[in-house]
Amino acid sequence: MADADEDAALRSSQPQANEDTDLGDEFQDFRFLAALTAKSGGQLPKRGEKDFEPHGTKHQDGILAASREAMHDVLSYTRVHTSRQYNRAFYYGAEGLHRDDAIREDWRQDLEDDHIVLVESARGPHFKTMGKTTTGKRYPGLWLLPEEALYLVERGNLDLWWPTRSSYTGMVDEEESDKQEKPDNQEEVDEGFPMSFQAAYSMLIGQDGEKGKVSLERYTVYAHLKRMGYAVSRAPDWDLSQPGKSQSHQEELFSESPSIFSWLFGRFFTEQAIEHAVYGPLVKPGMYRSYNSIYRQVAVIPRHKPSPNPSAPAPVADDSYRVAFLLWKPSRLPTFAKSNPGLPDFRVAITDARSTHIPSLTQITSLLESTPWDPPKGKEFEGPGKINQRLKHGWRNVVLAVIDQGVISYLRLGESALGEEKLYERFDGGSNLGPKRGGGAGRGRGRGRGRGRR
Amino acid sequence: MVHSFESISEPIPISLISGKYMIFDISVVTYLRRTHHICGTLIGSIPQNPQQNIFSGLPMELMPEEAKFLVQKEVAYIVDDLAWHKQRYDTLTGDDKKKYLESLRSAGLKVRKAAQDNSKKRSEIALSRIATKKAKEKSSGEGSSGTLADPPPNTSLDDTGSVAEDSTTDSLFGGESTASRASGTPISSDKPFPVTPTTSYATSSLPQNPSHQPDPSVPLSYSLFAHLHARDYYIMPGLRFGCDYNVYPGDPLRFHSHFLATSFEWDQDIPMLDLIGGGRLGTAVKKGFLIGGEDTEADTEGEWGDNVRTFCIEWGGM
Repeated sequence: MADADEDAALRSSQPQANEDTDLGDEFQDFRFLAALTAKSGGQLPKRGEKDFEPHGTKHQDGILAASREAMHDVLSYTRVHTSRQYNRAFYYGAEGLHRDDAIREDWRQDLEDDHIVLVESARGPHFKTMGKTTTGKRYPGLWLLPEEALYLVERGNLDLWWPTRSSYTGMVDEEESDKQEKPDNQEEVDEGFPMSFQAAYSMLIGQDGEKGKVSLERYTVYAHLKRMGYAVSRAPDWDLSQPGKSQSHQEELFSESPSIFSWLFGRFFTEQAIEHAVYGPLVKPGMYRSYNSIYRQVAVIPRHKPSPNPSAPAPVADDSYRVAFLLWKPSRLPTFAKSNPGLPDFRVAITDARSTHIPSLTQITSLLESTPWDPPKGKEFEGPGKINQRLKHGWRNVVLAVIDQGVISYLRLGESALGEEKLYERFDGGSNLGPKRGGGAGRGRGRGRGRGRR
Repeated sequence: MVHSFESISEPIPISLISGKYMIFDISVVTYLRRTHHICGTLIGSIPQNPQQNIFSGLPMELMPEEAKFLVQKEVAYIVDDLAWHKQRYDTLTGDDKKKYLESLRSAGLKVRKAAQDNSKKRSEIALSRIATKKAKEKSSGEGSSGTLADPPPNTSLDDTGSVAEDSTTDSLFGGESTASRASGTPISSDKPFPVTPTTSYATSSLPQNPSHQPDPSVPLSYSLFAHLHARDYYIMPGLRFGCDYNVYPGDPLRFHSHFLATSFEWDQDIPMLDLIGGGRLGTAVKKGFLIGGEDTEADTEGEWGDNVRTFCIEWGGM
């Protein structure tokens, strides 16, 4: 329902759907669209092909009615589990039968507090990137986080049940007594009942920091990214009630914390100790044979210098902006392993457009310093022509998802350092190579002057 | 086409989940859209086609403004969904539970039957197609070699599409696509398919509202929202264009938005740069940049948003 302007971008950036490797499944998708087309008389509620304004014609009303009809038809679908990959799961969250009361301790080893959905039999491609398997038991169980469970329910891949005390033991009996007289007593075992889609939302959506829940903002971003095909997992800094486990300045946390001024500027002065007189010209009179020595004296405005180990942490560690999710590109899925996922391709922080303002310098700094050092290295960043790429890439980077009532925009924040791109160093490049090759310097001069004049 | 939204009776329950307002019933979604110009934002996946972001599915998230508007008009009331479900699920035993399980069972059976019919039909169609193909080959071999005027043979895509359409008409649950998705590998031949119902309560059987929920708290821009909504505009969240609201002259399904609306307070100083930025962006995407605010001093008789004044800013292009 967005406008055409945005849609083009949306569509082009859409990565290939990798999640469903099942060919039959994809074929059905097309079929579904075909069915829809046939039903609504060729009028898919397609984005982009819209009119400027209503002009009261029957034709237009008819198209609108057909669009609404098609939308209604698509969305009145009921999730029915017909596939052989039927997965049933039980909800053991705080709102119902609590996990820690219902499940024996040695059957929930190594779980996070938020693993509250137990999958009875994990089948299908999704569990390659989702869920956590318990250890220390002959038949390990697979547990899901709230966002994983809700996403699978929403997709129609998971049948979530409200358990009774006997649900799980029934399962265990089944496992341990190896199908003895199983078919007979099946009627009697009270396994609980299926939860509705609506119930899954009401149980699994909560506030940030609530145990066994996920906030709607985070869930919406999670589902959006999953639909694009990424492998998504929680970042170490997920839990807002815990202090951030920042990656880069962990050790230095207890060193003295100087003011932001000295933090920003201090390094600059120690590095280039150029003394200036209180009065007088910046550039001392004298003989200069290179631009370098002049520009270095003129550089009085301190600039940020990125460093892999910021010598001091941000003055007040304000980590309200945090990396919530780690992302791996769909192309990496074939070799993806939950236990050893490798370095993520992107890190995503999430913020609500309505309740927050633009992050402060402190917040951005905290956020960026919680991500690993990632300088623009490699062939694509080398050479004088790649300044723009280097600046854009930054020395650290993070993706910020801004969400407003279900509409998401992704921004990329990079720690770029203009101070690292010393243009004047290039002016001297050809100076000692004879008059002919001095052209390089001349060009550089021309550029500098042009900028100054503007 | 008889749809259930005709049977919707106000007031409608709005689910309040952790401070967000949501609608899970598609009939209500359609009803609100048709009758009250409330579009919300669909935020869920579409299970029939889950690996894309072009179309979104249920639930529908309402802006607090929309929820407040509906509550004020007494079109809807707010239900604490978590409390409701907790209470319901904790006490769902005995006959109630049996009834619930039985309803799911019969739904599952229906879909299974539809799936079976479907696969039967499909194999018939496939057989007949093979037959016609053979006949065609025969005739084309004898006569003229397939002129351009010949209708192209149906692709399998179109064909299966029409089958799915057929089955929808008699399947209450519209499960045609999954039904056929399972083609050949149903779980077992006599068990009903497991069903995950979308909603927990029918809109007609309104859930008892255990505690009265306070009116949704809305931002200051609510009066601008009410003002525009009262003038039959459709309003969507404004993030896409960096404003408070995207304002549409008709249903956003069919029409482009006309305005990027941003609300200001009556006596607020508006930075010139905000106007330039909004105006430039608006002009670039062929929309008007609209600012508005409410005169809080004026007598507050009448409807919400009556004392709002709006201005539209456009690039002169001189």
